[in-house]
Amino acid sequence: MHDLNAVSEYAKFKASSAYVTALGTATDVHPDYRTEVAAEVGTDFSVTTNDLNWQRSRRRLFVANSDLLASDQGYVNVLSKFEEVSFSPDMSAFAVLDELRMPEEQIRRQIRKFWADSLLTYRERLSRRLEFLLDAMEEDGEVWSDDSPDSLRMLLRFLESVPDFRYPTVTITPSATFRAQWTAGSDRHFAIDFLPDGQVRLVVFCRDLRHSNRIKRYSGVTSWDSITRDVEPFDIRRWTTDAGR
Amino acid sequence: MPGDRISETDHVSRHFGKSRCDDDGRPLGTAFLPRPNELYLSVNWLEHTGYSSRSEQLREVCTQLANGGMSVRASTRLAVLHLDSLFSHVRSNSLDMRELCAHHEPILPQNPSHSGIYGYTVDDHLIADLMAEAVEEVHKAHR
Repeated sequence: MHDLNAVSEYAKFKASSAYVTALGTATDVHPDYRTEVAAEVGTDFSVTTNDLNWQRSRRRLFVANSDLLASDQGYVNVLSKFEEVSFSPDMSAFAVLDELRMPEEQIRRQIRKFWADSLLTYRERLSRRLEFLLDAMEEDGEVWSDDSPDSLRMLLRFLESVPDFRYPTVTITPSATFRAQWTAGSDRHFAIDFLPDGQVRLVVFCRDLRHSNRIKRYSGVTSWDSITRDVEPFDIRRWTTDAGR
Repeated sequence: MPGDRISETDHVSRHFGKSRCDDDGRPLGTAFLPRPNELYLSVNWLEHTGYSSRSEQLREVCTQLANGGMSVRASTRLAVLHLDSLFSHVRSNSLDMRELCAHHEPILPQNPSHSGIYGYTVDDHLIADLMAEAVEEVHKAHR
């Protein structure tokens, strides 16, 4: 008998709810979907399931095949449409599921989470811009890369670390990474491209304080958590934060 | 092997989509980055179209782009660059006095005005940001 230990998406869970309830062994549901799932099947998953209480040796991960429909019902029908995915006991099933998701799906989930959890003042505006970029990429026939979700994750993490920064203009590079920029003229320009593995590529244009008729320009690669320290000499807070205006 | 060099007195246009511009429709630096596997930035040589007015040149460019399989819609745009202004802006403001050049790279028969700007790669974001500064006109794409 199979245990359905993790369900990657609400839609998939919804389709398989008959299977889950028939077996009575749904030992976990993705935290993002617990509330909805509880409403659907009348179970309080926040009480009855807990990542920490998983019997690790018994964990098995099943993902739905692409032909699984929300209208599919019944144990036999649904079971045949799941495929077991092997993974190391020391890994989170959700990390495995994230790797299996398509990049655009991962990006959409990150945007939803950012919208729900962020305390940034421009959270709503930025979420809308990111959704717009998702649609624009599809409309322009551009393709996301496997690095795109990590790039967005680093971008959002950086923005959360500098809550006093103003709303950035976000765009997508031809490598399908996210690039944020704050521009207030040819002498006030700061751009960050979020590369894989926590690296970033920076560009800064700023007024030379010693020679006010000159513009200093800088570009380079650093780590995302070194950005603010590395650009400190350029006094970018003058135009990236409200306090500097 | 690059094609014929284009005179710096001439103009080129760069076609870009919604993911490469700001909320006002102005192209950002990412609109001027070549793809990772490309040797040059794809542009269209406006004077090569044979028309004298800008609107006719751009209409012809849109037709050629569409014939070449590009998705040309009202939401996409064309940025016009004067080559001499562009090259001198990049040369005088880049850290290494970068020399760019433009060559005719026709794609026959669909896109005969297709050309390329050589001298930088997808990693040269500073160059791309300078190119965005040098844009002279932005037009909606239409046929």
